[in-house]
Amino acid sequence: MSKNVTIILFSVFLLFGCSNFPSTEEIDSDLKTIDTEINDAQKTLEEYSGGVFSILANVRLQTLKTTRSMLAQKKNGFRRYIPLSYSIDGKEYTPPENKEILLQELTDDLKDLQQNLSKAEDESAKYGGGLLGVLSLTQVATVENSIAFLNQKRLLLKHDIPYYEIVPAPSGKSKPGFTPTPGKDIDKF
Amino acid sequence: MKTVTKSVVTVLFILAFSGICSADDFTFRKTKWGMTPAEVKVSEPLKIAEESEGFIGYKTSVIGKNVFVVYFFIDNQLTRARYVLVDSHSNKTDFITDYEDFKKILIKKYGNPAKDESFWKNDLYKNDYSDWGTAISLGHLIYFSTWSTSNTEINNMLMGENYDISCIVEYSSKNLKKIEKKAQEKKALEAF
Repeated sequence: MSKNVTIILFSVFLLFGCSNFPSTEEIDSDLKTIDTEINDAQKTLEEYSGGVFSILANVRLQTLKTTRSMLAQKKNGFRRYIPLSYSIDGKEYTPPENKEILLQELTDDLKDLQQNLSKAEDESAKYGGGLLGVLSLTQVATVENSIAFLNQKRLLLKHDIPYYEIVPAPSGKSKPGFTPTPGKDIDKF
Repeated sequence: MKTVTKSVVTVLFILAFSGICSADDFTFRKTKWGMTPAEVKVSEPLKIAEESEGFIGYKTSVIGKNVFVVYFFIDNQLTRARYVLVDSHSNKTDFITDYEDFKKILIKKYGNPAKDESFWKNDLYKNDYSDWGTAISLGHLIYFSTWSTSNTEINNMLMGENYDISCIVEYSSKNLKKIEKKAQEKKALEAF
C-alpha cells in the first residue's frame, strides 16, 4: 500500500516538479517597456496641476496602465497554468487570420507617429512659452496619446487579447432593438 | 348559372368591402382609438421596451429612422399615440431633414397639411441657416404641420429645449379628447 502511494507521489513530482513555466519572455519585455512609459507619463502628470496638459497626460497614463493590466493578466495566466479565453457578445475571441499583416501595419503606423512626435518635440523646443509654446506642447501630448492608443492595440493583438473598442451597446434579448415591423412604411402612419 | 354568378359577385363585393372597412378603421398602425392596453399589445408585433401606468412604449424603425412608438391610455382607453425620433445628429440642423421626411410621408398619405408652419420665438440665429439646429434646440425655432381625419388629429413637430431636440409625430383621438381633458384637470387638482 505504502509502495503504491510512494509511486504515485513520485509520478506527480516528476510530472509537475520537472516541468518548466511557459516562456513569458515576450510579455516580460513588453511589460518593461510599458513600465518605463508609465514612469514617464507619471512624471509628465506631476508637472501639471490641472488644465488641458494634465488631462492629456492622465489619458495617456490610464491607457498605459490598462495595457499593463491586460498584459500582466495574460502573463499570470501563463505562469499559473490558467488558460485565458475572452468572449465578446457570447462568442469566443479568436485572433484575426491576418494578424501578422495587421501587426506590421500597426508597427508602421507607430513608426510614423514616432517621427511626428520627434517633429512636434523639435517644434516645441523652439518656444519658451506663450500661445505658440502652449499649442506645440498640446501637439506633443496629443501625439503621445495616439502612440499610447496604437501601441495598446498592437500589444493586445500581439498577445491575442481582444481590443475593446467603444461600440454601441449590443441589444440583448431583454432589450429590443430598433427593427422595422413588416409592411409598408406608409401603412404605419 | 346567372344566380351563381350573382352570388359569387355579391360575396366578393362583401369580402372586398369588409376588407377596406377594416383597413380604414385603424387609426395608428394596427390600433383603433379606445382600445385597451391588452388589445394594443396584441396588435403590436414588437417587444415592449417600456411600460407604465398610462403608456406602453416600443422601439422600431420607420422610413429608415429609429423611433419609439408610444401609446397613451386614459381610463384604459387608447387616446393618443406618438412616434418619437431617437436618432441623434452631430449637426443639429439635420433634424430639419428628419422633420421634412416625416412630413413627406404624411402628405403622401393624408394630403397637404392643414397647417404647415415654422415659428421664430427668438430671431438670434435666423440669418444663419447652419445655426437653425441650435435655434431649435434652444426653443428659438419651432416647426409644425397638422392634418385632420374624421376621428384623428395628426401633428408633426420639431422643437427643443435646453439643447435637446424632439421630433415627434403625434396622433390623438378627436372623440376621446373630453376624457383626456378631464384626466388633465383631475391631475392638476390633485397637485393642490
